[in-house]
Amino acid sequence: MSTANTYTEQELVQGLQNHDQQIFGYLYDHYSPALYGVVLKVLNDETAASDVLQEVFLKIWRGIGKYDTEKGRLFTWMLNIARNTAIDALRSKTHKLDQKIQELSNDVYAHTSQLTVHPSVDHLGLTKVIEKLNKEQRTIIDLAYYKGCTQEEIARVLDIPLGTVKTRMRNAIIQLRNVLKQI
Amino acid sequence: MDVQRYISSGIIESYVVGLATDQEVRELEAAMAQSPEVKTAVDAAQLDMERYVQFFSVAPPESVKESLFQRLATEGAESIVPAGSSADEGYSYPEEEVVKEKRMVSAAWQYIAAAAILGLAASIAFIFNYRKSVDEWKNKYQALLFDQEKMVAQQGVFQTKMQQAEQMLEHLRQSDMKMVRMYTASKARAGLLATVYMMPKSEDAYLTISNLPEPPADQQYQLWGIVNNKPVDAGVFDMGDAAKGFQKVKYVPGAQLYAVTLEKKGGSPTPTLTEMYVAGKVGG
Repeated sequence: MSTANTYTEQELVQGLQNHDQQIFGYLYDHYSPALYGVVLKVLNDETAASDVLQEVFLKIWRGIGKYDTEKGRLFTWMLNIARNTAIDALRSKTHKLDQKIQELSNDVYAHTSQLTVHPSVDHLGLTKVIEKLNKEQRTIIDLAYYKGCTQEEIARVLDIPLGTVKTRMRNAIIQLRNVLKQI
Repeated sequence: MDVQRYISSGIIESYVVGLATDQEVRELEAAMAQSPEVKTAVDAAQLDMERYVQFFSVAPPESVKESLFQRLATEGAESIVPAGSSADEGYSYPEEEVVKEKRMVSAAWQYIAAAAILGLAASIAFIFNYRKSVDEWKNKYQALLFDQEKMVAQQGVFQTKMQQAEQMLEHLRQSDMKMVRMYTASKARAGLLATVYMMPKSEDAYLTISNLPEPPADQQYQLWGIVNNKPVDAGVFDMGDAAKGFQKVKYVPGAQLYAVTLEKKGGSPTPTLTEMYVAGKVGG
């Protein structure tokens, strides 16, 4: 979040490790839309996503002592917690693979109405990303990131050889990078 | 290792989308540590992915923040894992749970003990009250018994009076009854009156006193029947309550006159004429 510059990342981490609830409130205000977006896209269920988001922030609050600045940025660490917690919740709901794919093709448009809620959401950017990435590129990223699918599952869904999953993923990310450069 | 080839294999992209296998992750982390070029490529792909993810940001419901901070307020800082603790990802706190369980057990015993003490106190209070009420009822029962005995005795008195009254009424219905009014015998004691009822058929006689002064404690009134100028004793009688009703006296056959004298207690064989209070003739 480039707009979240009242505190530096170091100040945020320091504050959280001192159990500063004000800092934690700031962290929540600035990062909850991104984390909720991840959780919601994983679960495709607002009620479940709300519960998981709360769990995610509790894990952040309780586990800040385990965060290591050398291993990555705070946002990366928080995103990983959000993604892992949401995917664990998804797996506990025993979602079937075709159900996951069905959800992926529906959710982008299902949640566009809610996107106006948070001013930091870049509608133009989102539209461009959706336009410029083809369906296969989006699907391969989303199945992996949001649904926790394995390479085998992706190969089966996209009907491509298992050995090509990683190169297809690389192509998708390169295309994403190109789109991001234009925004 | 051919870094460029490794970078272009797609392992970095797979890593940032969470697709890499455990073995691939270990490989890449080792490569990142060795090669700044790989590290830079991973960071770049990571940033791309993070930017992508942020396009799907959605503001969560307000209630999430509220309940989150409520939970923080109730939990306090105790549940925070201190820095440098074991990197256990389970976020479970078995030690705390054990302590809680122990506390619950001891709390349960506290409740049981408290309940037992309370129960004992209640039992003692009950027994005390019970004994108290038993004593109370015992006293009341004895009082009732006493009252009943008293009433039975009084009933005997009433019954006797009733029988006398009934007998008297029976006599009154008999046509042969003669009423003898005895008036003041000396001018010094004016207004005295007593009456003798004679029943010749059954040879019964009764006395009522309308007005006679209460005698001294050592003296009694005595009734006399006078037959042919000779006084015949008809018995002594009591004053007080006994004088309020009919008193049975001796029937003196053929008496022409009745008189009452004040005599020594128990009566005299002959009347003391100077102490005659009332007298009256038997009518034809």
